[in-house]
Amino acid sequence: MSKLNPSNLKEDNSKLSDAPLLLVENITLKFKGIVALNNISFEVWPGELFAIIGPNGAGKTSLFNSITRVYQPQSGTIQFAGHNLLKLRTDQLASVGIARTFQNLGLFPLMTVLENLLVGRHHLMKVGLIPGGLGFGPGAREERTHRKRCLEIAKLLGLGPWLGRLPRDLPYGIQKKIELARALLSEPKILLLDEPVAGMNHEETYEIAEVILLIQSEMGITQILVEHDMAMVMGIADRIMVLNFGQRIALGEPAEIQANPEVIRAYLGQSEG
Amino acid sequence: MITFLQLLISGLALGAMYSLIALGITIILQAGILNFAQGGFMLVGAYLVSWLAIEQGWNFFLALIASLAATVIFGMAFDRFILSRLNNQNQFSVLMITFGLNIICEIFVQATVGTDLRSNGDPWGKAGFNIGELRFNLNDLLAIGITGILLVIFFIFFKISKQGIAMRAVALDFEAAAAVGINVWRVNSITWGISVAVTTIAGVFLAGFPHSLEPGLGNAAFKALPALVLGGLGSTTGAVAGSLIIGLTEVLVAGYGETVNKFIPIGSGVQAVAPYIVLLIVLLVRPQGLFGRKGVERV
Repeated sequence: MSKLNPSNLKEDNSKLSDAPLLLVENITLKFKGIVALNNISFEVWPGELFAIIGPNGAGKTSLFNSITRVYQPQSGTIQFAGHNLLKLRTDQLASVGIARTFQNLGLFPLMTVLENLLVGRHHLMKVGLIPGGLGFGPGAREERTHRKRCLEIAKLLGLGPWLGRLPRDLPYGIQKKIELARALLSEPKILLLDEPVAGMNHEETYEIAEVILLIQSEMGITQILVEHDMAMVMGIADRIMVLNFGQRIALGEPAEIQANPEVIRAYLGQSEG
Repeated sequence: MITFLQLLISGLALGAMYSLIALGITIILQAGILNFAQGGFMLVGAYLVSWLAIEQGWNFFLALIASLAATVIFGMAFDRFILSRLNNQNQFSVLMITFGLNIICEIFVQATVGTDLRSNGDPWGKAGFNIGELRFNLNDLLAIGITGILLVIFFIFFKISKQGIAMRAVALDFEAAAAVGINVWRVNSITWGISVAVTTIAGVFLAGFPHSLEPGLGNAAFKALPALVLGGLGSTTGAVAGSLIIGLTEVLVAGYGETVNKFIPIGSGVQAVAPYIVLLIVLLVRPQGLFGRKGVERV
């Protein structure tokens, strides 16, 4: 069970650091003649916090959905840690090391917080029966390992007091953290975050930004952040890619992006319109 | 007192049979589909058992296992090759397709086997025993016992097995379930398999003594619908509780109807509407049903 130890994950990452973890090449996605993504290429390095930004309709979600196998691009390739992603189904992504969160929360509202977290371990579970609190049977040992890991991650994200509650009874910010915890519990190599602070106030945004940085520093997990909130992205991302009308208009470190005239035009043009 | 106890046993047995059907409908409902073909599956399953056991001379239990296998495959194939194609995009189309399948099943049975009353093929028939004046029919006792065992197995599976938790996760949010690595297609197949299997078993018991097998058997599935609403739509515990209440109501009203008639003219055949009266009263007090949760919404 070396997978359960976060420090091992860091070693894995350092071994890979001479090659990109995610390599997207010339992705084109069209819907009935409308070009949602036009020949997009980029790579994400192990341990990196990579952000994708752009005005509404820029193609951020289309790109996110292509990587998470909701959409099938017409051309191009997506390579992830030796896997051709375009050949995989959504439910096969967890076992190759890809986890995601949803813009509108993808929690199971009628399962307790702990059950939600345990579902994150689904693809790691080998024994079919989890004997609950019984403490015996073929799955007991495995279950203890899974539960222990759930408690570790819950503690890291400050979810300890909420484990027995139903997510829908909890504040939005906490629910977002539960979703993040569940994604982390699948022991991913990369975590894809779809607008994690959408609809959040300043304080909640700050808290989630801290968690994202914690995931990078403590667990060494690579993250792709699709986001609207410019201030947050500029503050925490290592590199940023800017999309507009399905085109890549810039890629670089936050300072470069901030100074890029095309990016400024895309954003100002949008807010004036 | 003897009459009451006697009715209690039949009522519990009937409720147990309904609860298997209601459970079958509920787990598919949780996956977002109201399956009107539940009665159709039940009919085909029960007739297959009867046909294999009587016309083909198979051992009853062998016939039961073969029929379960056949109907489970039928149910899974229906989900995989017909319903999945619709991708849940149009709820009304899905509803009409299950409705159509129900009619097809009924017509198929009538055309191939006929409309005559027949035996369900079980080896116990009207066997039973007396304790004092109280009569115990084996069919009733077996229905109660087997249902009890199946329910225990089901709830253990549903609450603590990997696939059971996956089933609940898919029911609550299939996109999120796929994102954590759950194969939604496979889980839906398992759901349909379990649903059709328990319904077939219910069908065999429903067609047992003192009843017989006839093409109207499928209508029992529609009696499970008020049980679902009574228990709280989408709740598995509620489905079982609601079914027991409906079964008991039906049998008690049928048994005491004549006595009541002497004082209040309620007419005959009240047992057919009694479940709905109970349903109305419960919903007036608890609009979400006995075990339903208030304001469940899908975001």
